[in-house]
Amino acid sequence: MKNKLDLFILEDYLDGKLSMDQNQAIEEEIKNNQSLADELDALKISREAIELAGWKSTIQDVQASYLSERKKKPSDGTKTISNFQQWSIRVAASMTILLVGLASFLVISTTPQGVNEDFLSYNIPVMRGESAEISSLKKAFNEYDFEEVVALAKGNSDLTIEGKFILGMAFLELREGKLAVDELREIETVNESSSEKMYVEEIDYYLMQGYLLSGEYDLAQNQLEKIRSNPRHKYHQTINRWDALKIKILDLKY
Amino acid sequence: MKLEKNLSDLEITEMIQRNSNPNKAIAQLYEQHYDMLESMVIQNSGTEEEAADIIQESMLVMVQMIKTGKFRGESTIKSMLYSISKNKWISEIRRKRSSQARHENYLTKHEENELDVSEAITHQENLNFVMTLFDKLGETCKKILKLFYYEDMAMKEICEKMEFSSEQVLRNKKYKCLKSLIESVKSSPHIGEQLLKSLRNEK
Repeated sequence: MKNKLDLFILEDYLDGKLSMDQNQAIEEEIKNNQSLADELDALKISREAIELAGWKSTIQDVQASYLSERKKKPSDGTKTISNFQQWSIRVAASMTILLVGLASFLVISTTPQGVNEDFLSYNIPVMRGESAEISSLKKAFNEYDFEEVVALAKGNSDLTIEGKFILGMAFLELREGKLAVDELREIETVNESSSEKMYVEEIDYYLMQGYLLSGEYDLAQNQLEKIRSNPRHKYHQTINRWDALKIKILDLKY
Repeated sequence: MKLEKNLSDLEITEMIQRNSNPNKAIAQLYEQHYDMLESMVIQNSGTEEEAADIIQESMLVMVQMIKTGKFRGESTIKSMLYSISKNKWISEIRRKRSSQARHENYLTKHEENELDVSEAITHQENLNFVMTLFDKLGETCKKILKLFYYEDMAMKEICEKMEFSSEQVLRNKKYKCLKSLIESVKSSPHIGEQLLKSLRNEK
């Protein structure tokens, strides 16, 4: 076998395209012909190298693409992240989303109206032997006729502390925060110079509502802290951290 | 490089053996094993760039082992790639002739697959030399031979793709290109008795 024919036949031999007889003839020839054996070896490694050169190009392209994609990922710098780390990151991300969602909900849903609705309305006890003035104020208040309470109080230039307090409560029911604060602060002033202090804890609580109604959220916060810092305060149990947070949000929002 | 799902070792092996979608098969090897191989090199005094070179060469050895049937799935691709990369990195450390003593313990550890890997790497080095001879051929020759032997295209398709006047002209050209490479291989002093012996053993 010579030249061109050699190479074609050797390729067919390597590809298994020859008949059994042809195969035997080739193998016999290779045994006795060193030059043909060398040709076969060289053909074999050349074909392998050509194919591998193709794979090399593919590998180079894939590696360049892989490394370029990896650089774009934000997780660069942390080469190998364990499953536990991935799980922890996912949990932390979920918690963050949940907290941001909760915070957003609180900010959006917290309004002055909503906070004021949480306040307890004052219940006025009716006692025997009260003066006509107090009796009529209490009667109007308990019948929810708060305008009547205001009208009766305005007609009395010498209103007692109890009368002023009922007037203050009526202003709160009428959502007149500023007027309610004025009445309650007036009682506070009287209390300061009196040995018999009246409605002290009620004033702490309802002043907070008055300030909220008049938009003075920082003063409302002061009242709230005053109540929360005293566990024995009558209204200590009625307010909690959520109330403090809501007022803080109102202060930030408005 | 977005992949829908991880392919199994068997699927990747079959794709490489059949040359079906080689890009996808290689991309899977990178997705599944690159970080692990890079960590191995970096943890043993290598840099990211050195790791990239070692991994690229290791992938080629892995492909060659699959193509020649030396990887038959007795071990996982992961452990085989690790052995190849470790072996190549050790050679690189030795070549640099620095901090050899520091790596003595590391170097003396024996891994499974070591014998097969060592043979495959030696064979790969011979193939690398033949690939440099292939690179010296003209562009047309390289293209014809790659399309025929790597992309498995029929002569008729190559004839149309490369706009040869006839298939016979293409056959003559392909013959000359291949013959030229074979002559370079035979006349090269680098292709010694060891290589020829290893080739005869493969028959």
